[in-house]
Amino acid sequence: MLEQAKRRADLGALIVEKGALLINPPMLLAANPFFDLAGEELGRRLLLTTGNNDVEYCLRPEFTLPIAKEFLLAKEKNQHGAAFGYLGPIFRQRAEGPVEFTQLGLEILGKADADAALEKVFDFAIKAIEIYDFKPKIRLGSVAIFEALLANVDIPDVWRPRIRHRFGQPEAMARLLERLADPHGTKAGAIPWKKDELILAISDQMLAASLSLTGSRSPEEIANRYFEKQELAASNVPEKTLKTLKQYLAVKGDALAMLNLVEKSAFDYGLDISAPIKRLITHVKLLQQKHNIKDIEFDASFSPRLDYYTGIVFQMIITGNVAASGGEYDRLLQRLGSDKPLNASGCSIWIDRLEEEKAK
Amino acid sequence: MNKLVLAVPSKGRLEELTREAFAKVGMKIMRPQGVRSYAGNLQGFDDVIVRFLPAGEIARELIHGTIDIGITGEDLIHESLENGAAAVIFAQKLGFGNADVVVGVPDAWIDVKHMRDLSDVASDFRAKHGRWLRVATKYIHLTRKFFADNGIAEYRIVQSVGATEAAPATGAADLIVDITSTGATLKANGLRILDDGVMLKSEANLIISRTANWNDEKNQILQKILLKIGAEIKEI
Repeated sequence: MLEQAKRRADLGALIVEKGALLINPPMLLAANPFFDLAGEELGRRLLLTTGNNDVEYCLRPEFTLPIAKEFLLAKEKNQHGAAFGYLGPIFRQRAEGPVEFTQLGLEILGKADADAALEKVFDFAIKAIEIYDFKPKIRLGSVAIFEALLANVDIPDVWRPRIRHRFGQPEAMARLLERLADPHGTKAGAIPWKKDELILAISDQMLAASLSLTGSRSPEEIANRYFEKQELAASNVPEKTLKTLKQYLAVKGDALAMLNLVEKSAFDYGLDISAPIKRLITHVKLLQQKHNIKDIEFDASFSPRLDYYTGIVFQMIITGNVAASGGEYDRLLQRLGSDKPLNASGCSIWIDRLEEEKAK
Repeated sequence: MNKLVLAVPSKGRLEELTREAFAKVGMKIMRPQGVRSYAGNLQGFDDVIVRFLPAGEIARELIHGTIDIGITGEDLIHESLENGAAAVIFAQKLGFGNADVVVGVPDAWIDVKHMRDLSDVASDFRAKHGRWLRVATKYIHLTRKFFADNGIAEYRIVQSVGATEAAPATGAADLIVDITSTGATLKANGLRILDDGVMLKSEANLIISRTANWNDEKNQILQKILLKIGAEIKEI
């Protein structure tokens, strides 16, 4: 018990050492912002309660969102960025019932030097794990490389965001790529409509069903996608593109070897994606040399499912379990109301897991 | 107390059809105090207590084990609790109360025929409209599971208690998940079921609670009833 308390005190000191402000957002939070940010996926894991004002609240399921909101509220004061640290309980629904976890974390928001911020996050997570005498294995992913690849391959534009949204969901991604290779169910052929006629017909049908023409999908949007489907049936996505994407997503193994391989293949294919690859290589080398981490893996298909992640993402693993996860999420602050994307990186560390493993 | 508690839907077609199904195999469900009463018995089975309860209530109590066996719709078990089905055994389908839990979209969405179309629409929706695609339903657990299985993450559920099929017209949601037996109500509201949008084919079931307090005597009574109904369950 005493040792546990001492280690937790060390964790608190680590936050201060990183020049971060220790922050403790409320335990009871409005649920809607979490649903808005992460959808039903996180929603099903919230511990919800309804106030007598009919507003839905939840017990704090994570720290990043309330901290980012706090940051944006004091935008003027924070115009040169800020770093926050936290250590406290979060609550999630699990299959077997609600569980309380202790999470430690760091959030570096709005700092101009993204590389320095990410390096600080890596350093923080490794040091926190070292307090428990473990040396983690690191699993790296890169949203930036995948987005660059997707922007470079030959494919109708409508498919780029849809493929992007499946990144981090290997099964859904595989199904989508399969579908693009063989758009069964849609028959190519002459479309019996001119687009403006079709839009009119859809409008009539919507009005007849008392649907608003502007409140949800518009007649034009429906007609556009209808045509797009027919076009897709007429001309498939180039086989080469699908092969490139599949090949890339299957890359997994020693980070330096794999990243060099990806860079070389991309060059051979004439795809310009070397900037994000080079950036990740720099960080891998830092992890090896400065932190003396041997076991570093690059997994091309690895990403958190949330679409506000942008650059490098990671997990730190001890004895087969994820002890820390984090990365860069430059779209988060924009999603929460900032008028432009702002650099953001951070991590959260599962203290209960470290304590359990330490006790073994 | 070693009597077996059997829950029967308290009103409507479900009650009638349950009584008929039991009477057909020689078990007469009695409601001696009349239709307003919640207590009854099973003729010839002195050690069975019959309780008349709303179908949703039966599902909840089966999951929590406060009744031993009951007749209700499979959909209600799934909907009462995320892992509700793990707490019960579906002993016998009874051939009535058939209804499907389905995904219904506006018929005017001529480009959306399958769940894979919906996944594209969901993916594009936020960028186009600045909000999530909204699904009105009371089947929250089933919807979340079915949508996740179909790789759809970009949507929000709008809880709906009644008249779900009106949600697209009132602007409360873009599409719905609801239960339907003939599809007529959906059609009347300008909605269409997706070709692969049937999430659950439900019917009235004789359902056994795993979480109830079972002992040898109650188990023997249960076996007698199962034998009559034509179901065979050895282990609870």
